[in-house]
Amino acid sequence: MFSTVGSILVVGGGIAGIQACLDLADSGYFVYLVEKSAFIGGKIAQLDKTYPVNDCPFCIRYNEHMECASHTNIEILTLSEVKDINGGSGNFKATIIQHPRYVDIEKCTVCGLCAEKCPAEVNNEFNEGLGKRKAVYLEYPKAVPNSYVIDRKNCLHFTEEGCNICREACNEKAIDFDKKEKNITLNVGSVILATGFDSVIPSYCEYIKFPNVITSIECERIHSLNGPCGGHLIRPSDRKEPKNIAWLQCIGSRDMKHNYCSTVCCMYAVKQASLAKQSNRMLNTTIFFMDMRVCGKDYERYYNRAKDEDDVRFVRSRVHNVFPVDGTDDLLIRYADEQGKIFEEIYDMVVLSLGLEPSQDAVKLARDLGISLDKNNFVETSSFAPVNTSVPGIYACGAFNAPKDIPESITEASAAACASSLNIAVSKAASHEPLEETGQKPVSTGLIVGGGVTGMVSCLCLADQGYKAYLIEKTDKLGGHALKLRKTFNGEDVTSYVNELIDKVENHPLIDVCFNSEVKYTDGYAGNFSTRIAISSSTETKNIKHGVTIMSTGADFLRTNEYLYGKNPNVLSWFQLDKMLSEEPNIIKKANAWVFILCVGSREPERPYCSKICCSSALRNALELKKLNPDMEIYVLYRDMRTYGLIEYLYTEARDKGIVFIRYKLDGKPEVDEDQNGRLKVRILDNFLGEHIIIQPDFITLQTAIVPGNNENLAKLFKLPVNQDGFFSEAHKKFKPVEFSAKGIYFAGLVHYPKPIDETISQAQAAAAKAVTVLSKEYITTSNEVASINLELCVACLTCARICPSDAVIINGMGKPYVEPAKCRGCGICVVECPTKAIILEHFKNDPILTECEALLEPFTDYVQ
Amino acid sequence: MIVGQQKDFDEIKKMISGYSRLLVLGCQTCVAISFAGGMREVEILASMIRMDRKMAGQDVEIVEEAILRQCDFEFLDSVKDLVADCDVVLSLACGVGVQAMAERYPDKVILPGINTTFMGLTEEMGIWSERCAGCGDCVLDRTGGLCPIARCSKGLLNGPCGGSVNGKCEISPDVDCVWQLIIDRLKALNQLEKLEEIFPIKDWSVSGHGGTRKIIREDLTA
Repeated sequence: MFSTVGSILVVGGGIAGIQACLDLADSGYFVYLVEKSAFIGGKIAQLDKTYPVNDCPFCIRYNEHMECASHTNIEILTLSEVKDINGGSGNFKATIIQHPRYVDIEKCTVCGLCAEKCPAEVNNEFNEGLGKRKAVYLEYPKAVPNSYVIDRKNCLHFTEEGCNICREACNEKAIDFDKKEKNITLNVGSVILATGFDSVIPSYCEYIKFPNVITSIECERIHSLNGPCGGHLIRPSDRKEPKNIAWLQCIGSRDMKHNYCSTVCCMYAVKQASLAKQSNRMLNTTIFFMDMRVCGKDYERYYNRAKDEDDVRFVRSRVHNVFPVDGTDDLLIRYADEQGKIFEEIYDMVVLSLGLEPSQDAVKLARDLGISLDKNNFVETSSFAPVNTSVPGIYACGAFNAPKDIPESITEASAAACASSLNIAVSKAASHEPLEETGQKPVSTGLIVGGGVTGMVSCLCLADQGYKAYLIEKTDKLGGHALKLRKTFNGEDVTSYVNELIDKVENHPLIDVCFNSEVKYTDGYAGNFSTRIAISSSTETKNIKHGVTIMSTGADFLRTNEYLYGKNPNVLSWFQLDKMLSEEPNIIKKANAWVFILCVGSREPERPYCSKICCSSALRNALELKKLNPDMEIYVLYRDMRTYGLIEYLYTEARDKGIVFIRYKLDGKPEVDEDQNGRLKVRILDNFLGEHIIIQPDFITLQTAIVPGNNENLAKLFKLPVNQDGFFSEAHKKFKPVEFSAKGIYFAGLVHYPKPIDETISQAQAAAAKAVTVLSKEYITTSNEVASINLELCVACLTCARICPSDAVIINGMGKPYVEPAKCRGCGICVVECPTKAIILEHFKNDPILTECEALLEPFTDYVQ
Repeated sequence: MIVGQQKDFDEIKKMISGYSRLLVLGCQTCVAISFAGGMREVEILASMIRMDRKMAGQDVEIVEEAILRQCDFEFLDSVKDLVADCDVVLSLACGVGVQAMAERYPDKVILPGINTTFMGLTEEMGIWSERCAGCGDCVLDRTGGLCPIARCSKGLLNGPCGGSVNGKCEISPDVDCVWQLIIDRLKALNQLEKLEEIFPIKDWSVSGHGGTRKIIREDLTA
């Protein structure tokens, strides 16, 4: 038998890989990060802005890159490939080939002399070939590791023998051409594959040869401030500003070869079009799409803004070809609208919204390791173990599992960190972390609020790593809404999964479940919280000391009164249909026609968000109905079919089985009536016919919206932010999906936003991974980014104490304020409000910021004058 | 504390027109706490003036400073050189501070940037209200700690007038009738009998109606 090894191998140093490394390293595990390119960070630095917040993704993530490079628990191996992995879960032997960098990272001072002198100029792949770089290069100024690298393929020393110009130019003597390839053997307990995706131009896109047809990533580079055009949106052929740009969606997605949805292209096209529009109001932007799949948190709002405020034009049509316009570099697009009428339009530039596919090297590695992949080479995972591959001890996260957006990738990365550390929890490596501060020990207990699937998964993750967990449940049983669900969209059995989970939680020696309980009061900071729980059956309260809190109180479903719901017994909610499927299949067998209505209460003016799970659950149930009764006519009335990612398989299957899809618009909702006998009648406009049709179904199922639960009360108690829709707000929409800005409090599941069970579970695992980074510390550490008060300037006006949203400012016995560092979230409100400017926030001091602003404004000084 | 309120910017603009070297001088005590004249307001006002002058195509040189208290001559000495270098001082102190500056620097034009509004307290962030009128003869012992001089619109001393409706003053439904509050509080303190004692006609001579007030303490003077 193998003994278990306490270190972990992460393959792929992109967004997900870095996140997994940091979570593991912060929990005290030693991690090897193997990255095939010369720098970590993956594709993030190529991206211009990130939706839905429009900030610079690289700026936000730079700290993480630096942390990854300097963490004593992380060893980064760049220019490295995994050749082979032997052994089994708990004790793998990985063989890594590391190619030489030829530049010594320790010696390189990034002075740039080598590149200045280098005679070999090649296309810059970082800018998608839209500029040049030298054979010795730094990918971009703040690349990590911050050291030049020699590109052997193009270096004249290797190609033409004997060029030594850079070596002679380097004052630090950092360049050594004699470095050889190294074979490294690593002994690890678990492996995480975070290999990301490739964007591939499909062979049918012959029109990519026209100079003004560019890919979406080229568009990112052109529009990026640090890109080859300095942020000016120009077209390649004549470097002029285009007046019309078209985006073509689903290039390499939802076609015969890639019969899945790439999930991210709708949003990035909307972003690119609206940012382009914002920088040039005269520009015409058109997006040609099939379904607008903007199902993430706050995405619908972003889409609505693009439509209504930025005036981006959306055309529902799949464009099959692009033609050159003779005598110009312009492009002709011919498309058919929904009635089949043909239109022709001329554009200055066309952007192809490329889909994602698994990285080819990763596919080869996964095959070698015997990991099951699906028909499109994505890793096969179960909804209930979303980051586990078919090989025990090997985990996968991010776009290798399915096409997904950054927040979901980061969530999965943290989930993979949780799962891979559970795998080796017994033999945790000694902490290599330096103790910067000494002091209080964190309370090694977690408090989880809400006993649905999310809460139970988080609880088990903590308890299985040896931490005590309290699970607060307001009802008298565990399971939440999942008790009413039968199957996942993949057809996996939810009921038995939930029962198994309940059994594990109730019998775990480290889990204490408090039924019929509610939080009444809470105070403290990361590592040291104190919460009072009231049990509804008694007047007793219970005080719990805990180091972390996880909010997993879930959400609710909308009680609608539309479409005769509640009036006609044959108009069902999805839960009612689920119940009927398991208890009364005979009724279904007798039905002749069935209608599903989607977006009931979602994407409406008063609820402008997508509930994300209704499309897939309707299709799953429709297919079940079809299975029970193949002759039944089934109609799905939808607004956009949002079967993102691999859920697209379900949509394809549904169409194959003869399910009829009819699209409706918000201003042309289906009309549901009943005759005297209660017989239902649905009237809806058919877009192809251009006429109303009438369906007489036996039953109608309404896919009602997911609405937030009573979060306001909890938000007040825990001082947490809630967004305009009533869901909790994370610290950063893109990069901190399970964290609040307050340290030590995390959240997961539907309390964050509606999502299917696999995403819920990975969030629950991710929240637990984050929690362990606090619980595993020997001492409570505080961030440097806290406010501090210069008492010489302070006039004790008490403003800071009055306005602090975290109650971090205390007035001491001397009548002077004091900021409790562990409670301060570094929001800066007190700094701004202090009338005597006595408060400073480390890293955000006035003088450096003002100097920076002045430097930024310098080029405009003449203009202003 | 003394609560101040910044003057309308147009008024300030008019006041300082024609001057090209300004010292904007804040006071870090009462008016800083009431967000009218601390260092923060000095910087904001100075930026506004700069922008305004720039738009008008006029040159201006502004020095920004704030001192602990403008109402003490000793502190005023610390800005001696700054005052000497400017054409005019725009003081964001209360009226006391402005006058102290004018007295200490008799050759210099000193302008007020704020209106000194009242003596009061911060009810909550951003809301201040008057509490004391400085009448020179305190009656709070007899009125449950609530001042009828400062807080009754008519300054009545013997109970509410006929305009008190549902606890509110007739001047506005947003203004509490202080006499209602006095009665409620005395009732709670079980001191309602205090109301039976009639206030005689108040001596307003100590309230400034008898001329500028001055206190001389023999024991403290040299």
